Amino acid sequence: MHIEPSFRKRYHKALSDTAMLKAVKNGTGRLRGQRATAVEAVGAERWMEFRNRAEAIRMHVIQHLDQYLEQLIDNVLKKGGHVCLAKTGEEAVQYISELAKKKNAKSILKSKSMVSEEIHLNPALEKQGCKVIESDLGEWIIQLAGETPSHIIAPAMHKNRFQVADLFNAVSEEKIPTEIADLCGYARKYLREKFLGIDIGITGCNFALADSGAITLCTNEGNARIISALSPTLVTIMGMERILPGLEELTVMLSLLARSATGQKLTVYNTLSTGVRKEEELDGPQEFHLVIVDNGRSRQLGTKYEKILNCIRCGSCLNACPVYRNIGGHAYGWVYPGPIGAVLSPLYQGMDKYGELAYATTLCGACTFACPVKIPLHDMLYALRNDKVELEKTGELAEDIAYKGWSATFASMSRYRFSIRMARRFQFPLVKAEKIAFGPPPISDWLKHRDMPALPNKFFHEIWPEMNKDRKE
Amino acid sequence: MAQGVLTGNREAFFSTIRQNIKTPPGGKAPRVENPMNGLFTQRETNAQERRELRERFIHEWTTLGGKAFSIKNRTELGQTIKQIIQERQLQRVMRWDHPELEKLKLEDIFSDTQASLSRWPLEKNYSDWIGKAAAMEAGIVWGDMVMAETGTLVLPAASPGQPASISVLPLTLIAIFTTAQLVDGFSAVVKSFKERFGTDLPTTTTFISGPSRTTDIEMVLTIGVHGSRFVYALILDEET
Repeated sequence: MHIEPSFRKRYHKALSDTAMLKAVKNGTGRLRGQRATAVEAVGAERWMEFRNRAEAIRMHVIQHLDQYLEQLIDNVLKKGGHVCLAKTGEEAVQYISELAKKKNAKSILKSKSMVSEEIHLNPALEKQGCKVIESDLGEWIIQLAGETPSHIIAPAMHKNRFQVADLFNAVSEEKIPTEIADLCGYARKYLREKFLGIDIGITGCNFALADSGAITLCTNEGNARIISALSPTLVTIMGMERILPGLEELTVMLSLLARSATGQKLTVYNTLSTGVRKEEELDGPQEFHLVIVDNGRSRQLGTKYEKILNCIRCGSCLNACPVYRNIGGHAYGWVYPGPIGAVLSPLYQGMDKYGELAYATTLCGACTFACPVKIPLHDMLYALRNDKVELEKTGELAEDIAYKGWSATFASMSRYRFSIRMARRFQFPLVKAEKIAFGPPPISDWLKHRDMPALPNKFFHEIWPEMNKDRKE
Repeated sequence: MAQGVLTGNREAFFSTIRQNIKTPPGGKAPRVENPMNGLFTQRETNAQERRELRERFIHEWTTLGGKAFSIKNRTELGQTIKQIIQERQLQRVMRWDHPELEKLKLEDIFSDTQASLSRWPLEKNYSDWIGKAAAMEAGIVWGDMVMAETGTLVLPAASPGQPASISVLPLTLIAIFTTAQLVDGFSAVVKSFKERFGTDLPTTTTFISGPSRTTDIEMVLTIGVHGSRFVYALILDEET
């Protein structure tokens, strides 16, 4: 799928898609409201304590990542599971592709995995003749549409029921009505048939537990649980940072994840799976493969961006972000949208390709406040801007001149006062009813959506001496 | 169990990680001691407190879209099960092979109804049991532990007779337990798991909080996408 390389073109396209914008505003509004209700029920103080605890847990794990990964690997291997250490996305894809070939797998069912999107797993498997089907409803919808997810937890948020009906009718032998209950009913029937013919199941991993070698799968639909129960061969793909020491730490994360994502106390299905089934058990995989992916994560360790690895992929920063809410997820151009995406994309994929996303922010800090593990997202976005300028050393010439001019003017009282007196004189043609609603570039873009108050006849520093004189007299 | 195989260069994979992990000023962040402390309710409960937890659980479970019944005696258990069979028009039901379910003699209750009850395993062979399990309309499990604060069933597959398939495949899930299984929340569950399993967890443990749901289309809530659409909790008093 071709992604437009220019962020400006991507977001202009998004801004013209009124149906999508309406859906995103509606969706993020609901999720934000549900989260707020859940946080209120917990209580502000207790919620802050949860966040502090979660931040401390994640920081400890990231700073001891090697130790916990080694423990996890040993426990998975001890229980008969196989482990693939994939430094790059390509290595992960190669391993899974070779496994599918070895198993002569035709039908592969997947539950949600952002990492699998990162590494473009589906196209590689389809190229060798595997039928890969996304089992999460939202992921299946966008798979049928040939699109990428537009939200971390609601991947088809940008679609309405009519668009979904069109997609389902393209694969269905009977006509599916546009009622949401009917659409979901069709999805259940269609995907249930696929579950029952599964050769390989592929899941993501919400959290791996180092001390037991267990992986945790969290879904509201139950699809990941069905996959882990019915797959003869199960593959779990995890970003290497998605690890916790054990069960106690997991309870803290699960309590935060659900509330932050959707306002629920817990996701409907939380499954702990240790991989290969025991000999006397009938359901569960005979073969389990844990694919641990680096793909740029280790590069963040020991840097000012290290805390980005704390992320638990709840999506609450997206719902809080005024930029995301007004341009949707596809404008970000890669797998991860919103504030988390604006930081991860340049870090994982390169400044040259995604450095512009450091400007996809008002730096309001809503994302940082919403984050359950207290990642300082807006600070990171500011740091990325600095890095981008340092790296390129060429900022835009006009912007450079403008900032130097502004700096020189505002550094001197006399120059400042002279400049605003001149501005007051020259604003005259642009003023209507004490407002400036249009102007030349570059302010014309800014004025398209807002009016600026006209400069007053007298500034405060001109009024004050007169007022003071009156007072003294 | 034969040891699994590791693919990939372990040394190379970890050398980058170790090289990049830097000790910050003041030393690395220590492991959080007692990470659950102060965040979750921690107490031992008596029978009366567990009856109160029953009411809390019923409130949470019904808010999530489930139905819950407080069962006084075996007669009421039979009546409630028959009512569910009637309501859901059940023909084929499967259950866990669990000693507590054995004690309830569910087969006697079912013998008086239109529905058949099969005990796991349905068949030994994968291709045989998967077809039969898929055709089942309801699954019956025993609630090993039940978290009242969140309305959550805790279902460890502690033996081969307690598969995950029974609680997730059928359209209807019926969980039976007594008030003795009720706890406040995660603290009691983690304590129990540590005592019973240590770090050798069962192959699968599922926490189920209500029926399967999605809001993936227009953020409208729909119940029963892949997992169970109808979930029932039948709660016996521990002193019955």
